[in-house]
Amino acid sequence: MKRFLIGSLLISTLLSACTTIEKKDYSAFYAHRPRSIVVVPALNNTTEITATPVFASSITAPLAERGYYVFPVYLTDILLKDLGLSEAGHIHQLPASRFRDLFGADAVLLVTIKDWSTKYILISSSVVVKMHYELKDTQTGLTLWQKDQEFAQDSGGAGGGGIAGLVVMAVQAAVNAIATDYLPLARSANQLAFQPSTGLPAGPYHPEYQSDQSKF
Amino acid sequence: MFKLHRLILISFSALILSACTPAPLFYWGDYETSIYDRMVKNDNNQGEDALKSMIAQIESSSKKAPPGLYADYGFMLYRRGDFANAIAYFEKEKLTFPESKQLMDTIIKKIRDKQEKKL
Repeated sequence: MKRFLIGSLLISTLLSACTTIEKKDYSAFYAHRPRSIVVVPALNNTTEITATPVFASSITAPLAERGYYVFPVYLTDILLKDLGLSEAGHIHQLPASRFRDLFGADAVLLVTIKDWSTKYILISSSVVVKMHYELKDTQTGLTLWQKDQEFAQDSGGAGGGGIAGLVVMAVQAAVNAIATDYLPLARSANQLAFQPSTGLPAGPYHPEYQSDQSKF
Repeated sequence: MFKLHRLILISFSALILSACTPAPLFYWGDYETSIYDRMVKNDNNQGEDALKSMIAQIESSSKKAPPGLYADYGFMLYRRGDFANAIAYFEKEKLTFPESKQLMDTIIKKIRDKQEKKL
């Protein structure tokens, strides 16, 4: 019995690692099934100026691995700048059909960076990234999918008690802040965001294309 | 008997875990690092060798090129003034991913116009 309990506990932990329970409406998505997605520069609502380009270098693989053609983000950036579109705020306001005209993309992914920070709580620190993702159909302008995704990592506060310990921790935290590498966190958030059961259904390059509806 | 249970449990757990991390569809190599170099560090040169070696590996194996690799390499060649090879790589992106056709045709046309002006 005990064994069984431990076993089920382990399985449910593993399962919960993959899934979050929340039902989304995929009818618009299934009606328009995009093959290709252009990711335009992210709108940055934080004070960290490098968040947008760091985010851009973490989005292609997680999205393409869901089976979609992802337009090269660097070329996308350059082409938009060539057209005088260098402000993410401006780009996000454009009608979605513009991205069909310019790129031939079936859908546009508009990302807003909501948090990109290191938080210090007494002797430990936590690095957080949080994004809002919205996928729009470029033919109808309809929102096909949207989601918020956060990813946090605690950089532990083990060891050294007393005032001396706190000073050491504060110095460590300051050193960490300079070198904080948000890239792996952004990548993890992106990977989580697109997975079933609230992520993106498999695209045409994925073996589960058009056969994974039960997962959502 | 317990051994069998354990075996089932372990294989089931492994199955669930592997469902989280399936085999990648594309070979990514240092592609995203090269995007980071270009977009965060504003370094256009470092990524070129990385993309070149990725392309060599893809061509000598069954590995699949990720979306954007050939186009990005084409753009690097274009920057160096090697228009003919740049066009070849934009064509390759189009051939590998037909979804890129419109964009690749636009870029190729721009390069051809520039080539004609040069002559």
